[in-house]
Amino acid sequence: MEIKKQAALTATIVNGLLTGLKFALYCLSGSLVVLVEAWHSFSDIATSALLFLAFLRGAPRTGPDAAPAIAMRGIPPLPRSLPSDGDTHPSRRGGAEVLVSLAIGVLLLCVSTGLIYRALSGPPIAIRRPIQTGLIFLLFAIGSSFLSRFETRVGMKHGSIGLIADGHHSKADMVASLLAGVSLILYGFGIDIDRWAALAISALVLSLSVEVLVNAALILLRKESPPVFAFRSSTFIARLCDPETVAAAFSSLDKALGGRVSRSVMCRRALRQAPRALLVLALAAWLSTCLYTVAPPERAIRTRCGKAAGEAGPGLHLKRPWPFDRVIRQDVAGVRRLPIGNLSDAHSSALLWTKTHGTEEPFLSGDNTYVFPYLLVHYRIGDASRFSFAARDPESLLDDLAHRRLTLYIATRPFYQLAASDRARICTALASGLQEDLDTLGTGIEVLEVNIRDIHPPVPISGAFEETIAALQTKQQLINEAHAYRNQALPESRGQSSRTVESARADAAGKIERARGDAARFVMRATAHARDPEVSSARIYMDAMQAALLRPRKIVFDPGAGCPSVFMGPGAGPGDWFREADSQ
Amino acid sequence: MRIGRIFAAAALTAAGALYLTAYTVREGEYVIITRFGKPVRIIEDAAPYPRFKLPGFIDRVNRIDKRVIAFRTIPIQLLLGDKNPIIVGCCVAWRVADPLRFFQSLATPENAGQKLSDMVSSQLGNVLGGYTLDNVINTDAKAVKLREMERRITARCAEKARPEYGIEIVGIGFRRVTYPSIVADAVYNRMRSEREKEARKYRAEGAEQAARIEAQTDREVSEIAAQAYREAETIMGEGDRESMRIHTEAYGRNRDFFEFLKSIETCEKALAEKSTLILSTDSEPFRYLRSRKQTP
Repeated sequence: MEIKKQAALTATIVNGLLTGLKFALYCLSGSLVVLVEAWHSFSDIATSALLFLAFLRGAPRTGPDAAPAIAMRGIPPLPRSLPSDGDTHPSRRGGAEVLVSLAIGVLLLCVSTGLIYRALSGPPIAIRRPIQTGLIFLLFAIGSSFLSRFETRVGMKHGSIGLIADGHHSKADMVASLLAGVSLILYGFGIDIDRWAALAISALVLSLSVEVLVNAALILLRKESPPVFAFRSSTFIARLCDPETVAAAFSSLDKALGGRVSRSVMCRRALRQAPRALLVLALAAWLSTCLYTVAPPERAIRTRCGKAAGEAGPGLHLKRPWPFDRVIRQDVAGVRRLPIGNLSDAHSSALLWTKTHGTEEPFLSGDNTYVFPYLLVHYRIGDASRFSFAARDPESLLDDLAHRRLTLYIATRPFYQLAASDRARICTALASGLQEDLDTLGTGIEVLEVNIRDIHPPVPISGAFEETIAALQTKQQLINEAHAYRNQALPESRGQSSRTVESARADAAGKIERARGDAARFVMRATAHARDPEVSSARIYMDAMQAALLRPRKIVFDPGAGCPSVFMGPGAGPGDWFREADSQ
Repeated sequence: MRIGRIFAAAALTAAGALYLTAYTVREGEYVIITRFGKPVRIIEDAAPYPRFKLPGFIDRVNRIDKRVIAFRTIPIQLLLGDKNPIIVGCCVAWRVADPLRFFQSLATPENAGQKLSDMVSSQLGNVLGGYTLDNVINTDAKAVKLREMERRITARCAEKARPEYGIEIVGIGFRRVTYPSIVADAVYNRMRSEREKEARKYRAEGAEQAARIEAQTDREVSEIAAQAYREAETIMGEGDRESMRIHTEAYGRNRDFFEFLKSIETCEKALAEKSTLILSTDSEPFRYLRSRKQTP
């Protein structure tokens, strides 16, 4: 029994060393497959250690292997002929081990799913020293192979099913190490299957974890012997790697088809001709690389051993076969667009100052305000070979240059100029400046135009900007009202003044005419008067007196009768006098 | 059959040997061949034929990008000479000029990016410390020294990058310049107050111009009225003068008769309805009345 303990202990120590070594190798190489292998070895330590502990506990009893070890691995169904360990009541004896194995199962489950996720979605990893690491893994594979044989032999000899199972497990380890080693060495030669190898081994670790969990759970649930061994991935892999399996599969297929496959002439001939046919097909495929087509919007650059050796437009063209001539295609007709100032370039609503347009980048204007411009640069590839060989990422370069030009432009202009009067000028200045920069760098990009979508102030203070514009409107309104007043008052006053002048003219003319009339009448009267001045004077006088005396009240008195008290006499009104005069 | 197998084996061996030893230099890259890590050959130009080296693990092909590479520094906050905080993000365009030096010092564009980023950031601080905000943003284009700053940073970085890392700096530019978010609120408030100032100015200007227009209108109106008055008075005066001349001319011919007529006319007009006339019987109209009394 000692040798069983020793074997288990050796396996534990070897696995522990291996785990440490593999983690160290991961630190050195950075390969995902190495990391996965390290975790795989870690899972092995756990199982080997548990096996060893089980042996220690089981030592006083005669013969049997510890149940937990069987719980960990399950009893392999293959060596049916082997003498049974006669293990009993695992739950009674190995409760703690079962719990520990459950915990390890859960840990491995988490780690393996994490590794699978990483292998599927992680960024590409550059591996350092792939060949050296790969060679070390090949050595591991050889070691695992020896370990497997050793464990199996000891297990057979001493009738330990646990050890035999561990041997099978080591065989699976050998396969994994081999895979890791091969993938690393291939990486050294430029073929990167690191991710896929890591995925495969992660799947193996996952299957181990599930195996541990299922078996431990079954032992917990079914408390009686014989323990159930539902799931063994290592055995399955070990079997799959056996050449006999393939032969057996073929013969069973043949048998299922009634032996027709192996007997038919066609099949035999096909099998004989297969290598030649494959060769011809491969040759044809290789020769087909002499032809290449270019789609209508594209332009192709043919390179011979990396050196540019001519361009070609749309159509079918000839070249030397791969790997001598290769073709780089660039879409030269398509107009591409680059948004500046708006990182998302996703908008479905109106571009309003009161709403952000997406993820925007602020710029600073010359009058010290935040400006949010949103421009689109339309460009296309003008020179395909320059575009391919002058800059590593010409489009990112274009983005940088456009941002720089815009920053410089905006920094020297006030906001309102940018937002209103300069909109067209920004586009032309940016387009020409950008083209100049791109030509200096020889990027082969042709800027078609720069379109301005919007330039707006920060959204929180757009209200203040609109207020200012409203004030501008108010200003104009006040001025317009004043003009309206002026437009009314001036004509009115002009009308009034011409009325005054015209009436003065009328008056003057009237005066003159009247004066003329007066003068004419006077001259005529004077002429008449001159004929007999006495008589005419008297007549005129009398006529005048008559007319004059008609209207006023009159008091006529006789100087000889003394002076009457004209005003003093009470009761004696002037009428009396008048009557008196009348009576006289 | 045997010849075929031998041929196949030979072909496979040849292909394997070719795969391990042949390499090409592509357009837009330098290739450095290292033997156990030691650079032994540098190929700067692509050629239309394959080249050969010792197999894979002995001689290694190291490809170095020859093209212009653009990268952006992370935006950093720094103080200008006048204590104004500002955030500057730069873009750097560079290419490998000395492949061996580059390979020995940095080896990958990623390393170069980090190194250049550090370099540009430190030079940015040094250079921008000598300028004020007015040199960064200004409506007077002559005062803005952004290009000068770019040139100085480029020159200083190029000075180091070429001999130390074999990198030629094609250009360094300011990708974006902005204020830190801490001062954004203050800037917003300032902008808002500026807008209010502007708005008030506009309104006041409107009122001012309106008042000016109205006052001018009023002045013009009164001027027009005065002018009209002057004109009217002149016209009236002329009319008066003319009528007086006519009168004088006419009346001057027979002055006595005029006076006689005028006095009579005056009498006639003076004796209005409400006046009371006290007459002596000696007066002219009644003279005959009396004489008839005396002379019967």
